[in-house]
Amino acid sequence: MRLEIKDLHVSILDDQSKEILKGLSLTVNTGEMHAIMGPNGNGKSTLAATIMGNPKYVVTSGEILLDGKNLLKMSVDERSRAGIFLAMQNPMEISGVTNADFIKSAMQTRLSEGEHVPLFKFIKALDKSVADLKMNPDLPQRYINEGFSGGEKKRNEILQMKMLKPHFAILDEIDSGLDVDALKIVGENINNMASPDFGSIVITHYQRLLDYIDVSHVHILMDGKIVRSGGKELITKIDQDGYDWLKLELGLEDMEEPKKAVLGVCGAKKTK
Amino acid sequence: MKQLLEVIDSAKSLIDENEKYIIFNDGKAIDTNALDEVEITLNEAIDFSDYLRKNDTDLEKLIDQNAKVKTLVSIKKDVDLKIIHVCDDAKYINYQIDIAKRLNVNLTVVYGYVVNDAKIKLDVLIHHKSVVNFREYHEFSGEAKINTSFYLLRFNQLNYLSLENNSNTNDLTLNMYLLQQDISLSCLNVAINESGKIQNQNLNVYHLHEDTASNFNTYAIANNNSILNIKNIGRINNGCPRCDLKQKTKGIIVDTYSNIEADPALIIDENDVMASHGASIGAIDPEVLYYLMSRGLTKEASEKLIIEAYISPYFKDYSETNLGKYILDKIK
Ligand SMILES: Nc1ncnc2c1ncn2[C@@H]1O[C@H](COP(=O)(O)OP(=O)(O)O)[C@@H](O)[C@H]1O
Ligand SMILES: [Mg+2]
Repeated sequence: MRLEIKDLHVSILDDQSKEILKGLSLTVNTGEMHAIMGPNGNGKSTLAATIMGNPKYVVTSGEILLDGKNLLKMSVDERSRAGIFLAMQNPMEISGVTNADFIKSAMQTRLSEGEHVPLFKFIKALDKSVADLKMNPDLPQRYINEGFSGGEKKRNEILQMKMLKPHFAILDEIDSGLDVDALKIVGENINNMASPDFGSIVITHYQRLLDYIDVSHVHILMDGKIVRSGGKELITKIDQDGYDWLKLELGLEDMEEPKKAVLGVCGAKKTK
Repeated sequence: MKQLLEVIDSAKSLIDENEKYIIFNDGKAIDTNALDEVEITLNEAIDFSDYLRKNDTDLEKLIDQNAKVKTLVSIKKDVDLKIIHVCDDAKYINYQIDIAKRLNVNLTVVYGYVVNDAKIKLDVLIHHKSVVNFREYHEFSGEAKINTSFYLLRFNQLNYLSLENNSNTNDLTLNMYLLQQDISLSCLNVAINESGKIQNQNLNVYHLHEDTASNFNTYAIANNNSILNIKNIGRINNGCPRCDLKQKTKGIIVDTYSNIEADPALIIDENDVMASHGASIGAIDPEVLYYLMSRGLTKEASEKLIIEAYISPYFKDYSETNLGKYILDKIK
């Protein structure tokens, strides 16, 4: 399958004068793992949210095609069922719905009428995924993300991805809030998804996560556009030199969010 | 109304195995299997002025004056008891429940087959050291007005749960009187209004003695052009130190034509106490909806899941009972 983003322009619903994505193009095929890197506040999450169909963002021009079909015409749930998955930067807490019930309902939506998720197989698969991610075994019975630590929420996103088996997974800063051990576990689990039926877009602004994921393509997103694409050598370059050289080359003003700019940090080098 | 016997049969289908029951018709007990644990007497009411001097409201006076009988249900032993009201004629229903000391009682009251505009008064007296789980389910189809008061004595633990799912205009008053020390009261009230009408709830907790604790949670849902007014009053009297009073109201307004008005009030006449209240009312959180939909659930399925989750505390450990199943089916 192929996910094609063509000259995408996106604004915020509440303030349509503010354009965040300014003509972004990107093609991802199943079987490929793409990384998108870039300083904060340049539109990475906006891209992820727009692919998923978050109603807070408005596409003013351009298109997104899934195997040639217009994704932008589809509702959020239709996109999910068509094989798009977004691991969110800030997953919601939902009290009263257990993880297990939620995941089962989500799997059920992928079956045709009259078909049911086989309970025993489901429990086995869920237990295995929970173990793969070294999560607390009681997790399936807990309410969605309620009282989870930041790291547990991120693993829970990966758990859902493993269970739902999407064709394209977009992972938005799945590494933030993870300690070194968790980073390794999550990275390896993402890497193990690799298959001819699976493509991914891994969004991060640190290189650390990419130590564990064998990405085939690397893109730099700045000022609402993909400004560079290449292979793994780009990761090393960003790791060593940050983004300033690119800003200079492209003649871009510092577009980090003001708060960060005041601190004067260089995006990629910053550690917490 | 269907034939009375038929209605009683369907009422009985709500009773679980090993559960005792009393069926009331028009305010009179007509059938029970609980005579080992319970005594039912007519016109031998408890005089609550022994416990509390209060001014009865007009509604209470009206019911006291007009009810043809006053039934007293005295619980003498530990029991799981269900009281079901079937009512199509009596305008006034007046009854009392007296729970003896040192008991463990699970009591469920169902107003499931009340089709007329009944006015109902229930007074519950719980004697010291008893632990009571009291559950109510309201499914009034007439314009009911109901006034329920609990009189709690020392070392009582009352866990009160109520779910209202009425299809008509409805006025509900609930009074919790904490009369002696070391009472622990927990209340969970789920109000669903999809009737297209106005429903009012007055929920009052009175701390009338030191060292008493209450925690009152209301979950409200308004849908289909309906209005819910919820007045939550928490009071701690002067001379009642070390009380702990919590109340919280959450509400979901499902469609744009409905509304929920939450009006919480704390009246605190004592310094050395803890009291808190809060209300949050609004539409379904679009972020939550988006999250669920992003996993493939349709908008309708997501909304349903959110609402089910919201009222799930009422069904905790209860969804497999006959009444639990009945209600879940009813509110789908
Ligand atoms: N919902 C929103 N409301 C207002 N501003 C937003 C919203 N989403 C994103 N932005 C703004 O758009 C820009 C890009 O944000 P984002 O896509 O989150 O960047 P990144 O993920 O690369 O850090 C930022 O300036 C941010 O403040
Ligand atoms: Mg982001």
